[in-house]
Amino acid sequence: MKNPTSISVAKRQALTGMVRTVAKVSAIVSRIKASKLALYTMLTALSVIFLFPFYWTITSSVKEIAELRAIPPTWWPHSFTLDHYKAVLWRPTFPRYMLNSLIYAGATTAVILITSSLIGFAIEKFPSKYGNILFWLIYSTMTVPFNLYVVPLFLLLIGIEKTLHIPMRNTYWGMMLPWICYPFGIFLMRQAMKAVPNDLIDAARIDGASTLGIYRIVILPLVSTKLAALAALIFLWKYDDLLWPIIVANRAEMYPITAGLLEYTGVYWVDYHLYIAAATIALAPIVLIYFILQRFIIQGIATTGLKG
Amino acid sequence: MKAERFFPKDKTILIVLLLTTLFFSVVTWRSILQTFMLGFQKYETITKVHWVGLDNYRRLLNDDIFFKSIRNSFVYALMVVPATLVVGLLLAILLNGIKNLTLRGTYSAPAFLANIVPIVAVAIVWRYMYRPSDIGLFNSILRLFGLGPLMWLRSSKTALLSLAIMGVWKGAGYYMLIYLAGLQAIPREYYEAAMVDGANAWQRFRHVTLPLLTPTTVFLVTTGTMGALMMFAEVYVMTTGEGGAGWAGGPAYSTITIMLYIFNTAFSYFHYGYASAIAVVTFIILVTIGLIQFRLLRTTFEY
Repeated sequence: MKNPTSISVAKRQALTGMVRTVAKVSAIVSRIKASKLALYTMLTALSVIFLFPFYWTITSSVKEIAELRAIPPTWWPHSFTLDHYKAVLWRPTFPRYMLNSLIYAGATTAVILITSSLIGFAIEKFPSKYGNILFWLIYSTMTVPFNLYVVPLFLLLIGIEKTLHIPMRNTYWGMMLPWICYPFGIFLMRQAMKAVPNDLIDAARIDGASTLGIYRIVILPLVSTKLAALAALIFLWKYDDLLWPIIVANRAEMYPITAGLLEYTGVYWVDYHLYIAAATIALAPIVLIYFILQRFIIQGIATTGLKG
Repeated sequence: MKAERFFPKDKTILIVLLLTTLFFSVVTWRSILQTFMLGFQKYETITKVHWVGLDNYRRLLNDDIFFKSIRNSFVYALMVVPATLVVGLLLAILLNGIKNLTLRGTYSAPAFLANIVPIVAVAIVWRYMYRPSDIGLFNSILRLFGLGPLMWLRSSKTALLSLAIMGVWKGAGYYMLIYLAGLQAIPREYYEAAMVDGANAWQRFRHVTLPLLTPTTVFLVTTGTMGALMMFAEVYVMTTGEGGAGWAGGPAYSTITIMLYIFNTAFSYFHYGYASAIAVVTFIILVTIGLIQFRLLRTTFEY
């Protein structure tokens, strides 16, 4: 028979051991919890700061004018009206600006996707000295900021108008001209081509496919994720363009939305309600694209670490 | 592998490469090179051009607005780049602490969304929030702390700072993403080794994370500085008509940047030659800065 006191000693020991373990675990848990709590508090605070201008845009766009002029401003809308949106959309110019932007950004994206993938394919899968030299020359132009050579580009447009009698200013193709071959896209697509096995190309060749046939049937589907990433980035950047479009277009009906929004900024800036409503509409396609293509956009930026 | 030929054998590919060469020769490369040539020219009208030697550059030396624009661009870069680095790194480290990928994605969305939305649209909203006196949002926030009101964009003292604050808000999401990619490339073993050696969280950050992020930081500082010095849309949108003047860059030239000055010189005054001379000088400055930064940052963080 066992000694009852020894049992109780063992029990007590086990108990204190357990208590100690529990205390240790709970201390760790609470430390994790505390650090987790701090982590999430900070992240939430930062998120609120980053989201606030969006909140302010949307809420201001539905406030009535009297409330917009209130001092101090109201933190959440007390009034609700869609009049500002109506006023913006009824202006004949506004839908045209949006359309111009979508055409400019959309067509530029399409062109860049085709040229980048074709040139990337040509340089990567048909190695030649010429292709290599060309690639490095293209790559090095990425280090020169586009903004610094807009003047000669503009003079080129005028030169084309004078010698070839093709209108370039105030045209979509004039705006698109500098982006037909896009160094960033060529760089990205050449990287993407590296992952495509040469055996597939050889096999298609034996089956009698032409070079362009291989590009279309074999290559394009294999690099489609990278193309989607490129498409998303280019569209976002071109939709955001201001400098080049306002150089090319001096007539309001050719302005993209970025330039069109400025129409509301006069010397005396009083029509806040119109700008805010217009800005909200201008933001909408980008926010939409962001939520649909988020994965591709982040992948595109993170894998290349390049911009512009 | 076979010895590489000079030209590819495939005719279609050769045509693609030649067309590409043609495009860059006519558009991109030609424009870059022509900038240097234009610097020595003067446009009377669009067709009447003559060579003026170093006149444009001589004029630059006595141009106060040019020096002001260089100074403003540098002050802006010095405000924006370090602040964005800190905020971006903080966001990345916090996000890296979240193991759940969906949650991490959700928390990274606000800063990243700020980064990708069109600058013109958000700049207008920021301008609205920066309104002077008590009507503006920022001033009513300051008032909660018993401060202000500030004139923000309307005062030559605070206008550039106002642009910089928006610049940090706009840029942090991109820095965050690049830093997050950098953080995830650091092997876990390094932290485990540091923990075995008894390093605390700060020491691990200082001696493991920061040195290993050096390539990322160098990349962000060099590209970020270049971007800040080339800033155009922000200042164009935020300062046009601010403070009563019709031109952007006010009040009293306190926010005129290099790009804004080039733009105004070329497309408001049609001084294409002079604008190109500014562009050439700017290009030389950019290259010099890029090289210096690259050298300095690489050696100070060498480990």
